[in-house]
This record gives sequence, structure tokens and C-alpha cells, in this order.
Amino acid sequence: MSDAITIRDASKYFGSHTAVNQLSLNVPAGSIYGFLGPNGAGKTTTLRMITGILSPDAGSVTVLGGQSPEAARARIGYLPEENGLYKDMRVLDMVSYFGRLRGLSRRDAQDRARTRLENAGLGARLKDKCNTLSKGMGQKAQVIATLLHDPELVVLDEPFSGLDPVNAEMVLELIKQYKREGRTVIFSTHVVEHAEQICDAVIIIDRGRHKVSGSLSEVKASGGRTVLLDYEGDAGNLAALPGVLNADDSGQHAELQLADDADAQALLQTLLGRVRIRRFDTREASLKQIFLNAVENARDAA
Amino acid sequence: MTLRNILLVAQRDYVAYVARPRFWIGLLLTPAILLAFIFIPILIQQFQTAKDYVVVDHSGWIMPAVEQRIAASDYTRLIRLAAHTAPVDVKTLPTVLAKIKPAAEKLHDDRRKTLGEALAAGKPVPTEPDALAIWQQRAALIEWYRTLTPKQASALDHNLAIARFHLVTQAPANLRAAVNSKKLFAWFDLPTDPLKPDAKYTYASLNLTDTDLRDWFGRLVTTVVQTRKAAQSGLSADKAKWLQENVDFDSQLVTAKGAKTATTAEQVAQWLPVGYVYLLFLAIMPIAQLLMMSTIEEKSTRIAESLLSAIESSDIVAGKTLGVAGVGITMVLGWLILILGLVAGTGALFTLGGTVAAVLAGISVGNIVWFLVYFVLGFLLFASILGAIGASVNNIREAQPYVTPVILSMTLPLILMIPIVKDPSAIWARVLSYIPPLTPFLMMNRSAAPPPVTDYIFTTLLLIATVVLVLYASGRIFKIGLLNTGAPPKLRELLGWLRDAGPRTAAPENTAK
Repeated sequence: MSDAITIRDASKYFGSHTAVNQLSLNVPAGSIYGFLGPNGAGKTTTLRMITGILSPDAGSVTVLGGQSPEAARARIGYLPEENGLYKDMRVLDMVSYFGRLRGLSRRDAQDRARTRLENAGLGARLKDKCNTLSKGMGQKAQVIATLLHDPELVVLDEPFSGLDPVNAEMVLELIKQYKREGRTVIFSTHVVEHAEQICDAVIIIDRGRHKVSGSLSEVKASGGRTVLLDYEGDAGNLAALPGVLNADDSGQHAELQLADDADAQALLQTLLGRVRIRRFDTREASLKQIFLNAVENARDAA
Repeated sequence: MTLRNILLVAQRDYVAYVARPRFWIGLLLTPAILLAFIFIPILIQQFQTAKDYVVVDHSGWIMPAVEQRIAASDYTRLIRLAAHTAPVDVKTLPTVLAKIKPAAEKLHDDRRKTLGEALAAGKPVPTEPDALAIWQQRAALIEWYRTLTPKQASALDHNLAIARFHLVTQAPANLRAAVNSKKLFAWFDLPTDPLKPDAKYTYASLNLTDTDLRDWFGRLVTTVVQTRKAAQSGLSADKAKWLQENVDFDSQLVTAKGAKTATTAEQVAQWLPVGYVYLLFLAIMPIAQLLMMSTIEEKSTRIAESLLSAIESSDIVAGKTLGVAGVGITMVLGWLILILGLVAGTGALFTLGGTVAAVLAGISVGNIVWFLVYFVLGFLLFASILGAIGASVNNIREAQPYVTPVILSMTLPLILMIPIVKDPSAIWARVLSYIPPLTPFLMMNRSAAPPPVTDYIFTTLLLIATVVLVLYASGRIFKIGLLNTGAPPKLRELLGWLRDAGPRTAAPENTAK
């Protein structure tokens, strides 16, 4: 499979601050690719370099068969975080305007906008001003505007930010639909569950640096074994138990990362003496655990 | 840069502003406010009632002479009123004025004044046919004038003396009580022997801040007393009048062919540069600010990033500039149409038509070309500065410290406007016109006495170089500023954006995520 995005040793500096530091990455065409990282990790800066809004100060970014992002603008669809709407513009006009900016003719943009807004359940709101739309409706209109020109590469920055579960589910479904249509989708998020749910591959970055990347299964395999634990009672400090490297304990549910030589049976015995156990499930590490490890290790190293 | 994208952005911005009701409300309000400034004082004057006054004349000879002068002034005004009334409005004139209109129209203005004085004095009988035709209506005119109430007089011409000040001939017994109860505005007490060096003249009123009545009446009494003093010195009345005559300079306009007496229109046209400066200010300031507002709006609603991902930042800047320039042109054209419509609608155009046309004829093609050049360059200069400011901040409040010096540099020419139009070749005016933000306004301001060609060339070259530099700098600030969502940059940071915007695009740290 060819790569939709190739980043080679890309760096981006803002004054004395290094936002992205020698990042390298390949995003396979037709895949859903997740950018994971805490706030300030450099996700948005990387996405802006992929879309041509910013240029790398060192290294290179190419997209869709070796083109520069600037040259491939018409083949990319970008939905920025907290993307706004022209408040006083009518919904149909706003959506078709962005289509025209991406190279569509007036008629084509109008026809596509009308059809897609109607398909998305916004047929009754075509003539309404954008500021009358609810957040969910606005998000739909923005997504339609972003993709009106049928881009091969879809870049979404924090697409789930601020959405309720219903609208978040809608965006998840849309992303899966793009993949079915053969597009490459990359999106940034700090909600790892979303990435784990739909991504073919992910990258975890922190402070502009690459931490972990690869297909979801590769990344998860790299995280070692974990135990998913549902319990009742006071478990004490789970991270201090023998063979446990790390514990993500939320009170009645915990994920324990095990050392390579840890004995899961011995751990179970220890826990039975402390709490009432409802579930003890040994499996490969969750993406969230891998994410936390990658970020915390970086913090520890600092 | 792509022309198609530039036009798309320009079209959207243009329609977005012009389609808003508040744009049209603003368009209507601006000339309305301008006209209000002109007409409200006139309206106030029209609605002012005549001030009642009493004169206690102990001399016995001042008031008859003063009343004669009042009548002479009013007769002159009435003859002029008859002459200037539009044919369609003749029916609104009192019969006696309608009768004298044909003759009044033909009479030279100087002769109207002489005739007014003769009508009031009862002599001499004019010999000129047109003046004689009016003189034949003297009895009817005087009879009608005597019966005029201040209100009727004001309806005809609120500048008539009897419309402004009403002499109460039946003086109340207690003048102080009448003034206190506001039945009387003031009274004058004239001395028994006004010719004595220590003669005491008194003016009494509750209101000493409104000096109109005192000044007007004082001038009349002064002239009368001076005439009497002259007569007592052995001078004839004619000689006394001759001595009192004001010197009237004939204003000559010097041209390449020589000098000729300047018409009123030509004298008014000397003030055209003030109009150029106002028009430049009115055309540039609101639309340059519009660019800033629209940029702030797109940035605050996060639309800017979507635009940046779709097209080049230079296309956005150029498109937005073009769009708001279109809004500005629509606005100025709208004002012109409205003002001309209002003037024509109120009939003012009819009476002023000749003067307006003559003043407009004073606008040379060269001035129009330079006006357009300075409009374009001035707009680009201020719009690009304000656009960059808009891109660097998140809201209007943050923009204020940056905008204030820009607005000040635009208002400075308004302050200098009158001194420069009076002395357009002053060395300080020349020096200041070399400062690029002032160049468009000051060079147009100096156009009455055309500046040397070298001034035009060098100031314009300097301005063009500045515009290019500012466009380049604002283009860089625009791209980085639009992505900056943190605190607005300090001056040092802004300079850093300019310095590093090449291979190492700089932006504040809070931009990175």
C-alpha cells in the first residue's frame, strides 16, 4: 500500500520553542490514522504542516504521491479544531463557498452542497443563517463544507472536541464512511478511546517528539500485558504490587501493566486477599495505558 | 496568488457587508448626520422667536434714525428675496414682492442696497428703470412691511431684522418687572446728549450671554451717533457716509494669463482642497477599519484557519482588501447619490446650481487623477496596517492600543487642514507631506497652490515604497497572526514575526499544540 503522507525529520520552531522535533511518519493511503498526544504535544502543528498552512523549518512533508501540501491543497480537506461558521451567511451559501475555494464551479458547489446537506438532515435549514444552527448541526455543516470537493486526504483536528456522545458517534461513523470510500483520514485527539475504536494506525507524540507509532495491533503489542480489574473494596496502592509496573486505578476499575516476568496467578491470589474481585482479565495493554506510559515516561525523563 | 480565489474572497466579503441592514442604516445615517450639522442651526434659527426689546431714547433723535436703518436693511433683503425666489415658488411670495420680482431680478445687487436705503429714507427717487419700477410700489411695500408680525417676517426670511428683534413701542411702565417676568428680553437706555464724551448707554437684560441683540443694536446706534458727530463737525451726511464706508477689496485670482476678479464660485473653489481631505478621510478611514473588523471576526470565529488551508494567505489578504474597497466605493457613491438627491429634493440645487457647477468646474482633471492615486495608495497603506492589526489580536479591545496611533495619524491632517489651505507652500507643510501616512491628505490639501512637480514625484515614490514595504510586512504578520490565539503580540514579538517569517516561520509559543 502506498503512503498518503510522508514526513521526514520534520521540525517546526516558534521562536525559541520547538513545537515539532525531527518527526518522521508514514501514513498508508486509505487508512484511518490517529494522532495522539497531550495538549501542547505538537499535534495541531503537525496537521497544519500536512495541510500546507505551515511549512516545516527542517525536514520535509509530502502528501498524495510526493506532492507538497501547498500543491495538493485541492486534494486535501481540513477541519480545524473549533472551526467556526460565517454567522451571517446562509448555510447553503457557506458550504458551497468553501467548495468553490477548493476549486469547484459555482453550480457544482451549489448542487453538491444542497444534496449533502439534505442527506445530512439539514434540508430544512439551507436558507437559514449559520448562527441559528445548534452545535451538532454546525459541526455537520462544517464537515460537509470541508469535504465538499471530495478530497483524497481528510485531516480532522480534534473532531470530537466539545461534542456530546450522540454527535461524537456521528463523527465516528463519518470517519468510517470516508475509509469505506477509499479516502485517507487522519485525526488528532487526546481521547484515546476514539482512536482505539476506529484507527488502523496511530502515532503518539509528546512535546513534539515521536513516542510510539505503527498499526494499532503493533502499538498495542508493544505495550506488553495488562490486567483489567473490576473490584469492590480498598485495593490500596495497586502499582506497588509485585509484578505491576503501572496502575491506572479509577476506584472500582483498574488497568494494571505487568512486567514481562510477572506471574498473573500470583497477582490474583494477592488481590483476592484484599478485595472482592468481579473481573480479572489478562490481555495486551490498552492504547490508553500505552499513551499514559509514553507521556509519563517522557515527563519522568524530563 | 490566484485571481479566482482573490475574487471569491472579495465577493464574499463585499456581499457579507453590503447585504447587512446595518450597512444601509449606516449609509443613510452618515449623510443624515452631516446634513443635520448643517441644517439644525438653520432650523433652530428659524424656530427662534423674535426678542422683544424696548428703547428709552432720551435723545429723541437716535431711534428714528436707527429705525430707518433697520427698514433700509430689511427692504434690501426683501428685494433680494423677491429676486432669488425660484419661479415655481413665486406663488408663495406676498403679492407686493411678487409684483417687484421681475424688476428685482434685473437689478444689480449694489443697486438693490441703494434702493433699500432710498425706500427707507423716502429719497432720492431712483432714475434707473428697474429701480423705478420697484419704487412705484413703495407705498404698498411700506404699508405691508409695517403690518408684518415677527412670525410672518421669519417665515419669509429669518434673517430680517424685524424677524429677529421686535421693538416694543408701547413700553411697559415697569421695565425691570417686565424683564424679570420674561415679557421683555432687554431694554436700552440712550442718553440725553449722546454726543458728550461721558454719555452713558445702558443695556439691561436677564441674559447677558446672548449678545446678538446688544451687538446688532449697538452697531446701528454707533453708526447713527457717528453720523451726527460728523454733521456737528461740519461734514455733510454724504461725506459722513463716505467716511464710514468699509474698504471692499476686489479679490483677484492670479492665473498664468494674468489676474482677474474672482467670482464667488472661484473663491469657494479655493477651499476645494479641504473637501479633498475630508473626502479622502471619509473614504479611507471607515473601510480600512472594516478590513480590521472583518479579519478579527474571521479569526475569532476560527474561520481563518479553514481559509488558510484552502487558499494562500496572500489571496486572503488581497481578496479581503478588494472586498472592503468595494464596500467603501459603494458607501461613498451611496453618500453622493443621497446628498445630491436630498439637495435636489429640497430645491437647494436649483438656487445653488450655478455656484455648485462653477465650484465643480474648479476641479481639474489633474486633481481627480491625483485624488484617485492618493485614495488607492492611502487605502492600501492604512488597510494593510489595520488588517495586520486585526490578524494579530483576538478582539476589538485588544486592537485598541495598536489602532489609536493609526487613527491619530489619519486625523492629524484634519487638524492641519485649515492652516495648510491658507498657506499650502509653507515649509512645514512641505516637510510634513513627505511623511508617508500624511502624504495623501497633505498633498491634496496643498493642491490649491499646486506644489512643485518634484514634491509630487518624490512624496509619491516614498509613499509607494512605504506601501510595498507595509504590504509585505502585513502579509507576513497576517499569516502568523491569524493562527495566534493567545495573548496579542508585544512590539518585540511583532518585529520577531517579521524577521523570522521566512524559512523559520515564527509565531508565539501558544500557537503550537
